[in-house]
Amino acid sequence: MKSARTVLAMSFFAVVLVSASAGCLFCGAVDIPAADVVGSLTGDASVSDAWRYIVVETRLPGAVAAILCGAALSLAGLLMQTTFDNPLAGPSILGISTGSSLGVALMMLTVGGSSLPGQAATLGGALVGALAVILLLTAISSVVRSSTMLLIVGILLGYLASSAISLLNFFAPSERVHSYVIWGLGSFSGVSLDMLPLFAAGVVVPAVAAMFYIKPLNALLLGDRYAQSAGVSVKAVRTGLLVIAGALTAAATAWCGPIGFIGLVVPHLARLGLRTTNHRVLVPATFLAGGALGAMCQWICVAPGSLGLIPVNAVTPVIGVPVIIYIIVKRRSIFYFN
Amino acid sequence: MKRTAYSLILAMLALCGACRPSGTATGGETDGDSIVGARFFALADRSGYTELTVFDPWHPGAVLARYALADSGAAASVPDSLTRISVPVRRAVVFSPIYASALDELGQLSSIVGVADVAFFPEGDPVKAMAAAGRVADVGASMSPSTEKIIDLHPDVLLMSPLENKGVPAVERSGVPVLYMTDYMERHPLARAEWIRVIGALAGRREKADSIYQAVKDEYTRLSREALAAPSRPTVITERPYQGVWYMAGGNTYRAHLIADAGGVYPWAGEPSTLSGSLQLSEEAVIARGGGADCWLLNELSPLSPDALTEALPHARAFKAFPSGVYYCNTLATPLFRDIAFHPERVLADMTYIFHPELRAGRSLSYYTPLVK
Repeated sequence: MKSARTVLAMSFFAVVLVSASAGCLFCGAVDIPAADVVGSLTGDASVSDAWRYIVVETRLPGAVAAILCGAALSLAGLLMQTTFDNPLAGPSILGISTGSSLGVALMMLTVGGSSLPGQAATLGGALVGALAVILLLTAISSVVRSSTMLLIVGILLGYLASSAISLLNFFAPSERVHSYVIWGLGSFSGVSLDMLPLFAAGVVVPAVAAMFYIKPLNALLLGDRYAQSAGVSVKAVRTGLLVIAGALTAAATAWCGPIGFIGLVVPHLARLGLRTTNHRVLVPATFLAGGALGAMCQWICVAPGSLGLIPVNAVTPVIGVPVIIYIIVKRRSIFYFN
Repeated sequence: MKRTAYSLILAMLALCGACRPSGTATGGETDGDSIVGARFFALADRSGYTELTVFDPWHPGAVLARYALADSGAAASVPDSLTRISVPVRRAVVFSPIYASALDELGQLSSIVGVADVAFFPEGDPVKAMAAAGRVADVGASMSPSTEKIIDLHPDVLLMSPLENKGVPAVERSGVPVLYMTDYMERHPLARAEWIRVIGALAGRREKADSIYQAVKDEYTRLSREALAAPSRPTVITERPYQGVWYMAGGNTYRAHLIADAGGVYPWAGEPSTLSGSLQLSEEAVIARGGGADCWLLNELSPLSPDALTEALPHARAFKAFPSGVYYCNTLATPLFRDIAFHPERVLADMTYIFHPELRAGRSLSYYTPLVK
């Protein structure tokens, strides 16, 4: 019965993923007949060059980037929620997203993007910023044993990074501030086909690494002391999980900007759908559901067609906030809080 | 809210030159008797094509892009390092009313096939009317344009103002030449106005563009001489605080040049800008240095009244210029941002007549409105 529910939930996430991805490919600002969309993907020579370029070089990378970003942030959120035993933990809460943003702000607002290839500067800044926060959290975690206290430290680090970003914005030239604001709106459409393999590697490698932590993650569900008594080195596991979550967040933020709510919401959707907290199925389910939600957000972003592209961060709260409110209101009747 | 945000961005681009560091603010950037021209582009005739070099304003000495403007009917050999643009341009996408108006003035309005931010083109703008009639495609907001629509229009060129590291890479990869117009980074109004020669080269109207630029320069110089010969030298301040910070143009900026060329005295004329080009001042610092100013120029997004100004800025009465010396420009109703790039002489005329009413001789202001009529 449990297995059937898992299959059903996974199938549902897969169907949403495929449908939303198709939506991303077939919908856009330009009306391209479905046959030509398919023709573009299959290399049909009769499709116009412009349409083929639009489908293959803009719509396809946008859809794949949305899936990768959604999956990465969701998995990062799940790892953090379990590590900190807090249902409201997530990449943005722990300051890792803000650390990434600070790294990008440093590159964009002080150095300026054109001294390096713009994308490389942004990527480097995001990765360094996220890793700096992770290193700090890791160092502090050797002193602060309580997960709740560490969560608070993460929130405080986020505030510090935000403060630095505000100062950088204040003193930066207006055109640099503009560039940073645009990056901050978030977008899945800025990833080119050439960049996808690197982005995919940045997401898949830490995701595979997460699979090696399934047993410790399940042990952590029963508390640090139980995990320790079960032979889990809580400190080492926590550090490893922080690094993995940080790498996933950094990759997503570097390529797509700071995307809110997905990392927080999807783990809950996966738990509610599967009705389990077993990470053996929860990790792949969260990864799949995150990809599906990312693709759905991208579909909604491109849906206005000729009216333009909606920023991702204008869409994610619309989906995320009702789920969070539902979880808070129904907390007592939700199985994994009992 | 969205309208306001977009208007602010448009204003930023149009007036960004106001925030560029430059040499002096003493009646024009001069080299002997001649006005120094644009610093960020160069046109050079080559065999079979014209080479356009756009320099990187953010990294002195660096080149941002090189283009080969080649006759569409000729098979000129162009080096691979240059981006080829077929001229005269038959299909152009423009991201700003500034460039649309230049093409219109050069008689090439019909070459525009797509525009961004069309909602913020000034009322009465011909391109806005064309977009409303469906004869020009709306490619969305310049902040997040529809790359699909741009590519589908098959333009010969896309004209846009780059924001240092923000381009439209997806469009460029598709093979559409993107011409980075860094005119807004020029120091002096006339240097920016010279960029009409770039538009002229694109439109195949170089001689006409040269004559327009020459006329602008002559009129600007004439007006400036007239203003500087006037006996009075009013002190001028600009803008008002935003969330407690008064972003005042630095003393070595575009805006300071305009004020100086119109015979005004700018209290921050000798003060270099910060990194951002603007001086971030407190209200009390502005009152201390500029409280006794005779004129106060404001850019607004709606009509302004003395009550509205004092409501937004309770200490407005502390300024000597309030209310009779306050002039504002409703930038959504007047084409200030459209005209300021290639026709600074028109803006200079308004400033001259505000600073020296004796020179006005019955002429009306084009952009600014007195707060008290």
